[in-house]
Amino acid sequence: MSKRILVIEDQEDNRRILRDLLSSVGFEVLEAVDGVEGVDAAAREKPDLILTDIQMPNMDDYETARRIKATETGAATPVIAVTSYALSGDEEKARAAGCDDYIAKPYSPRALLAKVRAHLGDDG
Amino acid sequence: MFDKLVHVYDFAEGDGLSKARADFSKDILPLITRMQRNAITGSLEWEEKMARDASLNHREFRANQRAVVTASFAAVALALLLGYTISSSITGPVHAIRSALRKVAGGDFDVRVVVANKDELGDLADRVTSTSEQLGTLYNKLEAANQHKSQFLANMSHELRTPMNSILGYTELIQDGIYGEPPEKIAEVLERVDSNGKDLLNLINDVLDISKIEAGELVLQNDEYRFGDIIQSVASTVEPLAESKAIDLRLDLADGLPMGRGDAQRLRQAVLNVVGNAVKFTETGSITVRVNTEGNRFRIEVADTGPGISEDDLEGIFGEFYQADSSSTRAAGGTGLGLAISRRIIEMHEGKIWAESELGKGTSFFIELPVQAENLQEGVS
Repeated sequence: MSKRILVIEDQEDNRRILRDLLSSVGFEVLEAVDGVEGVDAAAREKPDLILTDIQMPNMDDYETARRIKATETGAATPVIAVTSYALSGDEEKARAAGCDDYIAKPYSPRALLAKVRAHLGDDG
Repeated sequence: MFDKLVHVYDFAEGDGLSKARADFSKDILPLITRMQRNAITGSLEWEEKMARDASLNHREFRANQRAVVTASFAAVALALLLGYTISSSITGPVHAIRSALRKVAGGDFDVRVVVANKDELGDLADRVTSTSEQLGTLYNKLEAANQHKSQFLANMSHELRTPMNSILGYTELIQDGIYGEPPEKIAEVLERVDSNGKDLLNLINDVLDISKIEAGELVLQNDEYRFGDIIQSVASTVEPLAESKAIDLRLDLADGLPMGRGDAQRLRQAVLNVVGNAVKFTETGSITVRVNTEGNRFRIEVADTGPGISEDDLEGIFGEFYQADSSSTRAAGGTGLGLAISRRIIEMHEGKIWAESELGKGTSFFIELPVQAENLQEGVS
């Protein structure tokens, strides 16, 4: 059974890039277009891993990650933050919000896949 | 009386000396005596009169003296009073204006100078008040504009990077065969698209960095770092390009390098700009990176076998967008900002960076900085 990854990302292109990348190697990809939808989908769908963008409308940067991690299922799910251009301090903020890892844009697809696989233990 | 004296004299000239003597005793002597007496009386009277006059004069003198002294005191008192009144009508407002201006200099624009004067000083006081108000308004506008500019730059950089990330993302997916293996020609061209995209992204990042630095808004993080790690990271970044040009990349790190304290990410950026330049501008040969310590300072040398830099350009290359020789440097790429940013970062760490070169032989860049840097942000490690 393939692993399910929830992608929380407001930019359509970024969403597609993640979708195309992850599905090409066999993951099932679920999508949410903002933080509110994301928190909802995480609780409802219970994915195996969550990739969340950081700068999105409708919710403050790391609020999405925080809210997901505040739930029981969320706390047990690996959350990887997708940050922009390694602003110094982003790594600390990501960890402070409860994220298990982070990756900075622009990321190499290979590097992202490696991180996803590391947190899932295997691939889909 | 004098006839009698002449008469006696006449007598004295004749024989009547005894008669003369008798006449003298009988007539002249009493005369003389009476004269003496009159003279004495007269002079006594005169003395008395003088004394009376003198006492009168003295009294008058004393009275006059008292009058003059009183008048003088009164005049002085009046002068003092006038002086005090006039000066306080000047010094009072001057003090008020001065303390108001001092407040303004300290950043407090909320001053009102109120003086009783209706003269030029009063006018000046009013002007100080209204000017301070205007200054305060202008200052607030300037602060707001500066904030706005920083916010604008931060937003713009996010806005500029977002589409760039999409372009690079799709390009790499195509290259990785996610949409099927691309034909060779397309893969080749796509490589150029990818490379240009990354150059553009670097330019955007550099512009934001230099703006931040110049606005004094770049804050150095407080990290412990190993120079060895920084050099390794830089080396692995430039390796692909060095290999493709068949340039030998040599690392010479001294043993027992101490742990450094500074902003590891920014130092990596500074070193990468220098090493990256060396790789870009060297066509053949080698690039050697040496790190050792001198006292309590790190010393880094990046020596290349490139075309060298003319003496005129050795300082200028650290300026913004300065490119020593346009034709060759444009071909080599680079943003023109790399060395400027490197210098700012090194200088913020209280270090120095400079270049030495021999045309036709090569160039060496030198960086020196304290092992333990100061000026770091507190509380972050």
